[in-house]
Amino acid sequence: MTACLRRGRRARRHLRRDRAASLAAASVVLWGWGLWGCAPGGVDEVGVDVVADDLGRPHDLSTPRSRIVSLVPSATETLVQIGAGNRLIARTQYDVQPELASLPSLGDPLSPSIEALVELAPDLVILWPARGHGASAGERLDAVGVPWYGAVVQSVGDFRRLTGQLGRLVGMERRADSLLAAVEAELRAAADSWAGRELVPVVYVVQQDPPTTVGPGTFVDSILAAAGAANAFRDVSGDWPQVSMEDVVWRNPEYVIVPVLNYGTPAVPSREPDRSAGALAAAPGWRAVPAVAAGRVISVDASLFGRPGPRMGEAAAYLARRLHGGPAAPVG
Amino acid sequence: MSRVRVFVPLAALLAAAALVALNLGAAPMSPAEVLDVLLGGGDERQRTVIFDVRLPRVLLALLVGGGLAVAGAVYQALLRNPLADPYILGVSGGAALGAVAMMLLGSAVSHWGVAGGALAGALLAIVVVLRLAMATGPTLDSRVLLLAGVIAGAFFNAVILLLLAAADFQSFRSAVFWMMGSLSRAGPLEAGVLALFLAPCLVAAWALARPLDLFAAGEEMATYLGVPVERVKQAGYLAASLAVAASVAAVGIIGFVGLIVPHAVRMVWGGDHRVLVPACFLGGGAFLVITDTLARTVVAPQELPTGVVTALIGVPLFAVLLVRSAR
Repeated sequence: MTACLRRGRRARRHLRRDRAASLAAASVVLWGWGLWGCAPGGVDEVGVDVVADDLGRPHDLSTPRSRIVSLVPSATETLVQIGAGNRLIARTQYDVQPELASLPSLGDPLSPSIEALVELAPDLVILWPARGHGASAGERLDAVGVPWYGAVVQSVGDFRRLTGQLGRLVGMERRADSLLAAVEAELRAAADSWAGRELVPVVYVVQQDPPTTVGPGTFVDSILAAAGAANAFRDVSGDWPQVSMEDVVWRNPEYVIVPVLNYGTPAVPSREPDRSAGALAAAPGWRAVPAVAAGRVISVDASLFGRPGPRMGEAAAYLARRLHGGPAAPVG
Repeated sequence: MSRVRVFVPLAALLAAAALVALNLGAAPMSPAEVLDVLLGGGDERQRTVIFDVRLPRVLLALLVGGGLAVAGAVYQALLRNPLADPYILGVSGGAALGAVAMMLLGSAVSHWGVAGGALAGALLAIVVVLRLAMATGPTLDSRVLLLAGVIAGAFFNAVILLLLAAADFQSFRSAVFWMMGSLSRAGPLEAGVLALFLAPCLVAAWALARPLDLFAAGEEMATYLGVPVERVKQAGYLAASLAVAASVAAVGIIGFVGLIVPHAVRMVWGGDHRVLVPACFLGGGAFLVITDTLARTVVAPQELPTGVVTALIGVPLFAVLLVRSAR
């Protein structure tokens, strides 16, 4: 009994020391890259290597996964980038990469058809267990015996952790590591591209009505920071806070950034005309924001900026060019 | 009951609520600065905050709260049903269907397009429900009207769910937030347009006050007393429904104001509609100005949905009134 208590105390002390160490690491390294190495995992009782997903559920590493369904578009991009694209056996409506065009589409990833999933017989389904939605999908997958990995990705650190875990699950740790190094290098290059200039205050519009933006610690906030933009709502708590219109007007950002579906990126040109700036300039409240009234609205591609995936460096470099000049890539 | 003794305190409450609301917000401005801006001073940023954001929002809350409360009072009298709220006869369902349909057309549709869609949907609902209710006989039976409204509302909701099931995530989210209602859709022009739409409806509701009083004694009695019952019912239905249509088109669906305020006013000052209708306008306006101010200040810089705060404040307040009036 006492021994058990003592062990518990020692474990807690260890935990505290670990936490202090990782906190210190996180504070010295930019953009949450300090979460490196904190990926949960280990060896279970019978000696098989396991990784834990973001819900703490163990996944054994005895056999690399070869029939994967990813319902998280950023994880899909990661798998394609590390060379495991050929292990994917289906896609969602948001996965429009040419590499995946031949795969059957499961439609909306937030409400997957369990029957279609069972039919595909995957050995791993990656899903987002947010707000009961995915959790209930997970429960239904448990009931039919389909293994699933719960991925909650809100920050650059989360992306790091998930990429490491996916690398282990498909047996491609090295390539996952080099992808992480490449994304880190791209983010640093983006940050270097505006070095010496002032941060530009911006508001990122997750949703117009009610006004919703990004909080600190989210991957979008990290992209903004790397692009030389200062998120005007860095002091607000919550990942995707709803804020008052008056506050947006009062904080008076220099630019307002609007993610637009199918806006296009330098690599993938636009397919649709962009009406976001006009819509914002007509919207009550938003039209009173001086930046909007003056036409300082920057549209960006919603899939490029909306995914905590391997293209975050590309997003940061693109926004840095738009904000700080340099050769602006033609779009559309 | 002297009307002055009702209207003066309510108007004072409304004015006080509006003044407090004008002084509270994310932008740190002292009452002296706010006063200075209202009198034509202040810097550009302060003027923008007051005239383009705070004042329109207070006006919109006042108009919507007042309009919904008056509509609730008229519906409760016409349907002789204490549970009647402004959304019971399917107007909000029709408005939501129109708005959602416009939103699904894509980002090309401006907020005026969405509001126009909502207004068209609401008008469609008003006509359909009236035709349904008149189909059973030459007179407008309030029970049939209630039934027609409820089933029309259920049908509109089913169509909305059908549309949303096929919508992408972005449109789905916009549509759900639209239906939750938000007063941050306020601009000076929007508040002015809503005032133009609401004014005739409110005047009509007040003009119907005397016949609505006689209604309380029963339709038959009202007929004997010389009330043109059918015309009053139709006019009352149209005035209240058009007020609801305009409110929903402007700010979406904000609950509880139209249900609770008429009851509260009735408990305190009695059921005389010549008092009740204007008192509901003042009281509903004050209630929504207060709850919306709370919604945007208590967890600042974040904001709560106004409809949540109206229920959180309104329901306990109503319970207290209910218990006290029972004693």
